[in-house]
Amino acid sequence: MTSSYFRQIIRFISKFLLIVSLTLVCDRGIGTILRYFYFRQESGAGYRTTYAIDSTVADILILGSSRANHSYVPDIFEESLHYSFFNTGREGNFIFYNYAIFKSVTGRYNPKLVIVDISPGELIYSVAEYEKLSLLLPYYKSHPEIGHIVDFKSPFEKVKLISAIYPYNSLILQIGMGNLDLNKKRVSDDKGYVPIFQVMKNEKIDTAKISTCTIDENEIRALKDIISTCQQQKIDLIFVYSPIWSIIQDSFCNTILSELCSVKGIRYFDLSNSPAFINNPDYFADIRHLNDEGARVFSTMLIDKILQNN
Amino acid sequence: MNILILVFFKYFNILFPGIQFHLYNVDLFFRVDPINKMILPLGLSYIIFTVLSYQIEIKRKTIQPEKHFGYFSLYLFFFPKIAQGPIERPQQLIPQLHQSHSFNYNMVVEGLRQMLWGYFKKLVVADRLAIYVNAVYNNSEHHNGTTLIVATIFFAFQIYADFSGYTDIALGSAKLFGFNLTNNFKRPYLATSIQDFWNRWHISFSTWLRDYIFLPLAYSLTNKMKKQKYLYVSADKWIYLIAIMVTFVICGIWHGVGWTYLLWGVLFGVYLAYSNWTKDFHKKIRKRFHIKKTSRYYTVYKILLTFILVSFAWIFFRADSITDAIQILRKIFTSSGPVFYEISSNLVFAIFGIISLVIIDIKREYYNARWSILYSKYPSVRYAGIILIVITILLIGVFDGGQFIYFQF
Repeated sequence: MTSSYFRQIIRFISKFLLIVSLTLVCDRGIGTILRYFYFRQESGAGYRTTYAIDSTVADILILGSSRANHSYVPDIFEESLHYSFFNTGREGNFIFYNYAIFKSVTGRYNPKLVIVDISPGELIYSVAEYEKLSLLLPYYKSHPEIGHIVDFKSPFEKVKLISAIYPYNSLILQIGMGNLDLNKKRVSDDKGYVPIFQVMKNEKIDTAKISTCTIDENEIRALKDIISTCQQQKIDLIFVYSPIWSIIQDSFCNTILSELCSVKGIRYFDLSNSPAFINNPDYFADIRHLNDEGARVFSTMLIDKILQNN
Repeated sequence: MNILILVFFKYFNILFPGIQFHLYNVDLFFRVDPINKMILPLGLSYIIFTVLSYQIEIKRKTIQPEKHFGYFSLYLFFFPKIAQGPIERPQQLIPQLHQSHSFNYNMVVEGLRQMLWGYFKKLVVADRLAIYVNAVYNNSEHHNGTTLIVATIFFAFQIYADFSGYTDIALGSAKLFGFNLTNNFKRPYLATSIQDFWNRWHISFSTWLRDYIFLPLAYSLTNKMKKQKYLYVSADKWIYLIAIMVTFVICGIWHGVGWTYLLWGVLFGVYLAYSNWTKDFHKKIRKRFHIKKTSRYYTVYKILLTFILVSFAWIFFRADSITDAIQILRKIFTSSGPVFYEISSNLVFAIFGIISLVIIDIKREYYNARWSILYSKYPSVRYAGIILIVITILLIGVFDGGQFIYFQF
C-alpha cells in the first residue's frame, strides 16, 4: 500500500462526495420547483386528485376508476338529491386510490353519501395495483394517512423519498400541462366528471369468465375500513358495479363483495349487465366506459334505485 | 452432460408435457409443484455455455485446465456476469482472476460511468418502451397496423436498451473490482448488413456460436464435400447455407422454447444465407448503377434496410405464439389507423429515450472524438453530464416492475 494508492482513494472519495452533494442540491432545487407547480395545477387528473384530497366539501362523493369518472353526472345528482357533488374517479386507479381519497376526505369532514364504483374483479391481487400508488407520492409527506397507504407498495418508498424529485417521477409533462390554460379547454371537467361524447363502434359483446383467483387481502381490509369508517361517522355508503359492455361471469369476486356488503348492511347495486345498457351499444364510448348519453341514463337510473331503497 | 442439464431445466415440460415431475414437491427448502413451475437456476444458459467454452478450449489445447477450484468457480459464477453474461472465454477471464487487483482510480471512475449509462438505458429507455410494447403486443388483436409497427420499432429499441443496459451495468461493476469483461454490444442498429449486425449484437454469444458451431461445422463440411457445383450452386455456398442454418437454429432454441424463437433464428439464417448467395449479384447491381460502397446515402440505405429486417425478425421474438406473430404481420400489411396511446406522456418519454440512444450511438460511431460530455477534458462538463443523467433517471425513469428481458434465457 503506497501513498499514491491512498492518494487515489482520497481523490476518488472527494470527487464522489462532490458529485453526490451537487446532485442532492440539484435534486432539492428541481424537486421544490416540481412540487410548487404540481400543487399549482388548475386542470387535469393531478389537479382533480389534489382538489379531492384537500379542498372538496361535497355532500356526495364518487370514488372509483375511469369508469366512475365517466359515469356519474353531477347536475343529475345535485338536482335530484339536492346535495353538492364531486366525482373523484381517476383513470386506471382502483381500491387503494379510492381508499386514500376516502381517508383524506373523511379526515376533514363527513360527506352525506359516498358511492364507491367498483368492479368485483378489482379485488384480485395484482402487482400493478401497488405500483399505481406512485401517483399518491406527492402527498406522502403532507398527508400521513396517504403515506400509510403508499407504504403498501414497498418498504423502500421511505428511502426513495430522500429524493425530492422522486414523488414527481414521470409527472413532468402532466405538471406542465396542468399549469396551462390550454389544458382546461382541452379536457374539461364538471365537478370531477369528464364526459365522453364518442359512440362505441362495432364491438361485439364478449364473455369474460373469472372462476377462481387470488383475492388481495389488503384491498379487502381497505374496503372493510371504508365501511366501518362510514358506519362510525354516519356516512351513507353504496357500492355500485356500473354498466360494462361485457358479460362478466364472475361469481367468485362478486360473491365476496356481495357477502361483505350484506354482512355489514351496506347497499350494493350490480348494474353491470343491466338490460337498459346491455341492449344499447350507443350508450358506450368503448367496452368499459359509458359515453355522456349513457352516463346520464345511468345516473338517473341509479338515483331512482337509491331513492327506492332509502 | 452440460447440454442435458440445460435441456432438462428449459425444455423438459415442452418435450414431455404429460410428465409431472415432483422433485421439488417436498418441503425441504421450498415447495414448487410441477416442473413447469420449477425454479430455473439463474443464468443457467450462460453458465452452461461458459462451461462448454472452457471444455472446448481445453480440448483444443488453447488453455491449460484450471486446477484451483476457487478460480474455476469464480470463472463460472463471477457475479457481474452471472445473470445475463457476457459469456466469457477462459483465456479472457481466468488470467485476470490470477492477477492481484487493487484500487484503480481510472477503472473505478470508468466503471461507475458505464453503470450510470446502463441504468439510464434500462430505466429511462427500456422500461419506458416496455410499457407501450406490452400494452400493444399483449392485446395485438385490438390494435391497427400503424400501432403494431410503432410497437415493433419500440421493441427493437427496448430489447437493445434492456440488454445493453444490463451489459453496461455488468461491465461497469466488474471494472470497480479491476476486471475487464467482454463488451457485448457495439451499436448494433448502425450495422450495414445482417452479418455486421451479428458482429455488434450480443457479441460474446455470436462469437461463441461462430467459433464453436459455425466454423467447425463449415470446416468439417468442407473436408467432406467435393469442390464442385450442386444444382448449379458452388459447394462453398451450400456449406455456408447448412452451417449458418444449423447455427441460427441453435441460436433460436437457446433463446427459448417455442416455435417463435425457432422461427426467429431461422429467419436470421435465411437473411445471412440470402446475403451470401447473392453477394455477386449485389456487386453487379452496384457496378451497373455506379454506386460507391462508401457512399453516405448507400450507407444510410443499408443501415435502414438492416434495421427493418432485424425489426421484422423481432416480431417473432416478441409475439406470444406463431399465430399471434402472423396476425400482427397481417395487420401491419393490411390495416392502418391512428397510433394508439393511452398516456401521451408515456409516448413522449419513449420517443425521447429512443432519440437519446440513437444520438449517443451515432456520436460514438462517427464522431467519437468530439462533443464528449462524460469524457470531456473539463471537469465541470463531466460533472454536469453525470448530474444530468441522474436527474433524468429520477424525472422520467421507470421504477416499477421492470425486469431485464434476458434474465429469462
